[in-house]
Amino acid sequence: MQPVVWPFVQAHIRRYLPYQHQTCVLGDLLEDFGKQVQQRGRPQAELWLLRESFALSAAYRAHDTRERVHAHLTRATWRTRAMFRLDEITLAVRRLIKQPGASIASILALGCGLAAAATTWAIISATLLSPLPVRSPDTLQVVGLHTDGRDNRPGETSFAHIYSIYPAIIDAGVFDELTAIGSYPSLVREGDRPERRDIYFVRHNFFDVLGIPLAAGTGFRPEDDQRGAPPVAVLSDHYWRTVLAADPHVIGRTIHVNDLATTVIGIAPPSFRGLSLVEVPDFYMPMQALRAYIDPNMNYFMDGSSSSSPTSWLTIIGRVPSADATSRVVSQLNATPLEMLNGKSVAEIGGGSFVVEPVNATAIPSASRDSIRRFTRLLAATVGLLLLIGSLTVGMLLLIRTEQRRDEFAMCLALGASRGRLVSGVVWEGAILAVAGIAASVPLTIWLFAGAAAFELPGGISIDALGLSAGVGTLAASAVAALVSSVLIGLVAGVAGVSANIGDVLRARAGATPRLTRRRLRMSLVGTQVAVTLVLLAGTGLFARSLMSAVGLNPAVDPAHLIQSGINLRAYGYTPQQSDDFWAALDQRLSHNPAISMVTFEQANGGMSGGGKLVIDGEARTVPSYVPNIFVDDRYFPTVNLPIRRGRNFGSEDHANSPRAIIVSESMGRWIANGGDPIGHTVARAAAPDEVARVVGVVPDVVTSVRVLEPLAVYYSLHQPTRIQMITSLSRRITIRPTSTSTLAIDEAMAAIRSIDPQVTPSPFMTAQDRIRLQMGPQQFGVTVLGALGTIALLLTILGTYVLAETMAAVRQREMGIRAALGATRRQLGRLVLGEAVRLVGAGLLVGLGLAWLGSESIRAFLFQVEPMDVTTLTSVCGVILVLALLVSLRPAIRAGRVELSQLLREE
Amino acid sequence: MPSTTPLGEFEVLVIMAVLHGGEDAYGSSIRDDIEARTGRDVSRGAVYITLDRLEEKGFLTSEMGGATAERGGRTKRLFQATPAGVEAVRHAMNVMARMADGLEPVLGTPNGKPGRASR
Repeated sequence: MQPVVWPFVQAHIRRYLPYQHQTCVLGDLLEDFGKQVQQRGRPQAELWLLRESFALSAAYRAHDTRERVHAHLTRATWRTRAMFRLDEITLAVRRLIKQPGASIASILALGCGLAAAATTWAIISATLLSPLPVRSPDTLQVVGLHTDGRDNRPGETSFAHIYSIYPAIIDAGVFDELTAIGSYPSLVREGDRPERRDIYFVRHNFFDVLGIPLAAGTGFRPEDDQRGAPPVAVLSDHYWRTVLAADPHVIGRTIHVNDLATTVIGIAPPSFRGLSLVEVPDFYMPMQALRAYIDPNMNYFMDGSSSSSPTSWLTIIGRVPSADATSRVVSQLNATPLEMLNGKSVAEIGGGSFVVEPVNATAIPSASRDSIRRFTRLLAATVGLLLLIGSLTVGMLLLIRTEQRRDEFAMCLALGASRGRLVSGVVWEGAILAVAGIAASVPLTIWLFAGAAAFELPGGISIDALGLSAGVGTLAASAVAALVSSVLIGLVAGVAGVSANIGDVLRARAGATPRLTRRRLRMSLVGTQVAVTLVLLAGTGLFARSLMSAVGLNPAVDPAHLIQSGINLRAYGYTPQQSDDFWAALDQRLSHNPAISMVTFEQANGGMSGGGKLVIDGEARTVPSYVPNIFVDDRYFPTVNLPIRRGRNFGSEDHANSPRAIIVSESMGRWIANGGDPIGHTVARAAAPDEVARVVGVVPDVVTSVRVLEPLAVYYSLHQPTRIQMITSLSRRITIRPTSTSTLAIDEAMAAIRSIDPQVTPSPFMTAQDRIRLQMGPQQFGVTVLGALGTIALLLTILGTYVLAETMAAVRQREMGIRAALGATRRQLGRLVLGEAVRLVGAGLLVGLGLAWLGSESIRAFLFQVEPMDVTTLTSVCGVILVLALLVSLRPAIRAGRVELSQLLREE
Repeated sequence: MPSTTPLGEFEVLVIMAVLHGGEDAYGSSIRDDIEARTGRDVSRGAVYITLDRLEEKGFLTSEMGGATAERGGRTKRLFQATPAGVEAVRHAMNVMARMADGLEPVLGTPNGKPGRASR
């Protein structure tokens, strides 16, 4: 019983209704049509069906129209809002452009702060947080041996072992994986001349255990790490880039290590620079390859003809199942009988106990860890201060803006504008400044990374070797922090601005005294800037004075014109006889070179450690600190410019058969003679009491390390050979006094060495002053960083003081006019403005001195012969800030003195 | 997730009609139920559009079924109220009850006794 109008209804429904509902609706209509036929008859039912379908389509059409209108209105609302926002942003940008100086200062301050924060974070991350890019560093442990103390002396922990410990620990089977590494410098021929390179000799599984995939090539195979295997090497990324110019075809290329052809089989990834932040290897070779390079007299593996290993040279690294299992593994290791100990455990033979330390912790030498921590804390505090300065500058600018717009804000509020809309305008200004600061920080960060690479951290860690890189995460975090803080500052400034009401504004226009609240806020901002500037500049001054003190050591020696270098002929296969010929030839050439006024040779090998015993006048005495034995010729003291304070220099009377003579440093002399004259006293080593030497002279102390200001030193004559000297005669240090410039003398000395043997490469020639300066890496870094930040802070502070003095003078113009009318002189009026500036800066300086006192202990460790609260430094810095603040306040003070009430009244 | 916007009067009526319909509530039956209980004419289009909207809000679910010869073999769209739909209706009724509370003298009692104003 299909309706007659059904095709029409179907077409209608299909046209207007959603596709997915059409079938059901048609079913409903057909079902109801049946009921209508029964109730009303067919013709009426047909009409009913037509009406229903029309009504249905009309309802859906109306619904669609409503939906479309709703969507259109929503879009329009968003568009309108976006246009409002764009207007606000444009207005904010225009307002900032109107004050270009203050805007640029804020952007630069923020940019500097962000760049410094990114650099500091990168340094902290690369040294303390994750220095090594190894897999699961928590489970990678370096094995150490802690010896028990003896004779009331504390025990010591050593992480360097003789080789045979390594197979013994493997056999113990307590670690999941175990690998070992030892460094050994070798001569690598690059072009015509050989260069000394640091090589890591590693077990074949080294990169696998550490979880470091190579950047190119294959790793070591077990067969590469066997006696007699053809030598292969994995290059460090640094060596590949700097020496081999990033040769893309380097794999398979041959390099010559100690004249042995060695095949390059891989390149380590750039992020991996060895296991120590101090020692960066040039390349890696299989451990067994060391047999081919070492001196045959040295048995590093303790399995050849020699009965003992010459040194402890091996670092052993084990992987534990999990960080929690570390203590269990160490207990097992200590309890396990080791074959090398005749089947006894370390504890059983009373030799101490094994300990482990995470591989990341050992990346920094233990002696330097505290210094690094202190230094990074200092750096972080400095950067925090700079960010504070940046925020204060932004705050100042926004506050000045809102103060200038108080009239406008009050009028807008009175006319019904919402406070939120007014505040959002100021917040936009803060956000724009932050975005501009972030943009400025990018080039500054790149510049800072490049600049910082020239410095060293405490412990001799070169920042360049850390390979710092600003990760996207670091930059993004800094940027978000800057944005949030600037917006917050803008919010505060905005709220302060809209707190004005129309009553205040009208009162101010009528000449009433303005409220002081906001001026006090700005005064406190400038005061804080002054305090922070004082801290930064005082830090710079203290570091600079430390540097000057260190460089000024040994004034008699004239260290800037004393060049030194060392040559070790052992590495070039020289015999003692050949080396004597070499030294004689070099002496002859250098002595006759016009660029060199004096030359001398010394051997600075061997000595007595602090705690050891020397026999003085037949009585054994404990040495308080290290005493080096320095073998010198008779030209040494004149060349170094050390006058003989007492006694005589070495001379022709000191020959092989004469009684042994020594010359001692003044500090050593005082120790020998208990403060008296040491001439004639005798000295002998406790191990060889018969080899007695008599003191024949005393020379001034020469400070070579800033840590030892009273060096004990014993000088022997090179012409009186001793057993120690015979052993070390292949290595000597050359000291040169140039005729004119140091550069020319160095070039001539290098040419002389090459002319005798082109293979020989000395250690870098360096002046004694540079050697001292190298030890002051952190101080140099401190001077540069704090100096740069302090200068920026000073400029911003002076700018802030000037703006404050100007605005205060402008606000008080009417008051000044009245004072002038009542008889105040120009000088008195000017003094009022200057006095206010002095009080403000003085208060800031007092706060700054308090801050400096609070931070004095954290900087003390890095100062050399200067106290943290050094009066001269602090007074100078306070004076500079005060004088500059007074100078910039002069203009507003002079203007205040010239104000005339009658003119003011006419203008109004 | 069900909408948190309050229901309109017609939406309440539609959900109640679905609840009355049990497992066989579909477009026509819901419309008939509302007309029968409220005594007012209801547009078919309004019912369908409201059903769609309530389903979008998460107060109703629908499934296909119940094809019969009277429908020309076409399926029904059967509706069920969700717990959120039931809760929304309960909330709307509570609101009405609270609003009516204290107005008995004016509006009369729910059992039909007229109030003062209507006398």
